[in-house]
Amino acid sequence: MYMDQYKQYKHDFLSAYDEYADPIFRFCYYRVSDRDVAHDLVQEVFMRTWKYGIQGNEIKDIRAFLYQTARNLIIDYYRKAKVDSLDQLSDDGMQFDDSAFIDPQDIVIDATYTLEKVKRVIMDLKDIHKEVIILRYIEGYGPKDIAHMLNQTENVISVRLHRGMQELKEKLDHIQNHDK
Amino acid sequence: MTNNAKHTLHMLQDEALSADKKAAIRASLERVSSQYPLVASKQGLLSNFSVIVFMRKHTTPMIAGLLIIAFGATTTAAEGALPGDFLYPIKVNVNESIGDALAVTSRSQAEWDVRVAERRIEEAVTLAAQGALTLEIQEEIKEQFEKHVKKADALFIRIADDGDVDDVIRGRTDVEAKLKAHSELLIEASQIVDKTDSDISEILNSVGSQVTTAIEAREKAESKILTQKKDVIKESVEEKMRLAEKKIKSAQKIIDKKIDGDNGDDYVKVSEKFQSAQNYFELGKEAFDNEDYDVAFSELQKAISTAQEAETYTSGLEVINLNKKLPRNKAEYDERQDQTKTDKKDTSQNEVHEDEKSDSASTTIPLIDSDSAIDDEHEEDNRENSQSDE
Repeated sequence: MYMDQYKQYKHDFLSAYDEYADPIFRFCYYRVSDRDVAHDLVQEVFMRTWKYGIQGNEIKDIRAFLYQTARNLIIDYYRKAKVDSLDQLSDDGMQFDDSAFIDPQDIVIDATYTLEKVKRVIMDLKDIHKEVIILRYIEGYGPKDIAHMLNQTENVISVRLHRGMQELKEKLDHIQNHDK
Repeated sequence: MTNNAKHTLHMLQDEALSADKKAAIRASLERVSSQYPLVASKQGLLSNFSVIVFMRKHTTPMIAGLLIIAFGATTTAAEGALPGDFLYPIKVNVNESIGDALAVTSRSQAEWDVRVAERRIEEAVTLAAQGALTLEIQEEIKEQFEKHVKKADALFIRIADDGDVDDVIRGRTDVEAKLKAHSELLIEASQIVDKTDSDISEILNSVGSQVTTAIEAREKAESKILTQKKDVIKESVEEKMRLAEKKIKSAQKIIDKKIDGDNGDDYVKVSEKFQSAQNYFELGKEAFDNEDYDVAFSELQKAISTAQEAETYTSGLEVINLNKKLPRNKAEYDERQDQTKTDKKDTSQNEVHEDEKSDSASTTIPLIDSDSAIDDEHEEDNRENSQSDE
């Protein structure tokens, strides 16, 4: 990397931080359920991204790169913590059937529930479901973007979204029934 | 009363980094990204831990600790800021004022001012090596540098008046040696970039003039000692010998750590200085054994000064060398790429030639495709850094 490229990269990198620091934080926080760990992960995500670029490697899509790096770091975090919550992919071979999709509009949440309770339900989801739900419904990215960010096909993402919403619904129903 | 999940999930977007933490991480990233050449070194990115290491190296542990406790990550991150950076005012106005406040004795205050003056010149070296030492920044650095050197100078005069001549000689020697090394580094740094960007005469003259002041003041202080009785001079020489030995050891340690044995030019330059320090030491020791204390005093003084110069110079070379490795523009980058390819081609051809000579029975010669080897390495890096999946 020569000086002109470096200056441009530095500018783009810091702008990316301003834009994506919070979304990456949420992505980490809802998955590791610990603010301090999420905070450290955000810092590490951006540090690694900087390092990767400064070594002269091309980053075509910085947003996708940040999410992929965050995802890898979360996996590492779980491995190190020996927490067996990394669910093996069982959805990848399945074809997604549009008609079976659960629309989140149809999932009813009692308004007396605090956001904290809902957060806990989200955090309790299977990891592969959690990440797509965060990206789709909290961050508002489309399935195509998510597929690109997670280096997956759109079909896999749609399957995970569908199963994730099923799991979310079941968990919410369970809690609501339990509270009654 | 109910909400749908879509609405509720969207509300979770309110979760965000606290403003403090967001600013702290940004400051840390800004610091790291401002030190491009260091980042691009083979040691890789500076970790958070290395910020603390950096601070410990450049300030006292107590100050580093206090900074971290009192102001958190922002002030820590500011330690690496350069003039023109967002965090630079914090480095100068917050971090350094703490160091200033903690220096309670005249000697520690003088040492602190020398250190701050040195920090300004280190910044100038880094900026010069990056081709970013504009006349405006030079002026700013020069002003700050002179301010602190003059403060130290006044304090040394006060210390001398109090009768602590040894302290004064030590302090003046330190200034003289460090500034000499920094002058050399400044010149080398300015030669990395195009000549049009490298007018460093303003700052260089200022440093040179302070070196002269330090030498004159040191010599004046030394003359006070050398006019005393023989046993008093002997005591001073003995103390000087201890200091010289200590300083040579410390320089040796830094050189061993920072200079690769096979790093030709640097090794020659540094070892010349270091060798001189050792020679002065031997001469001083010999003169001491011959009870020629005046000569011993003078030679040991040179040994301390030269060893300090070697140490400062060696530390500063790191920044210079890392910047030297960087092409300044696309044309230079392309030129280097072409040169690398030509070199590789030549090496491969020579290898073929050598193999043919040594093994005439061989019909096929296995050649390593260095380009593809590099690509493979790169591929591995890419995989490691980014795209691994479940």
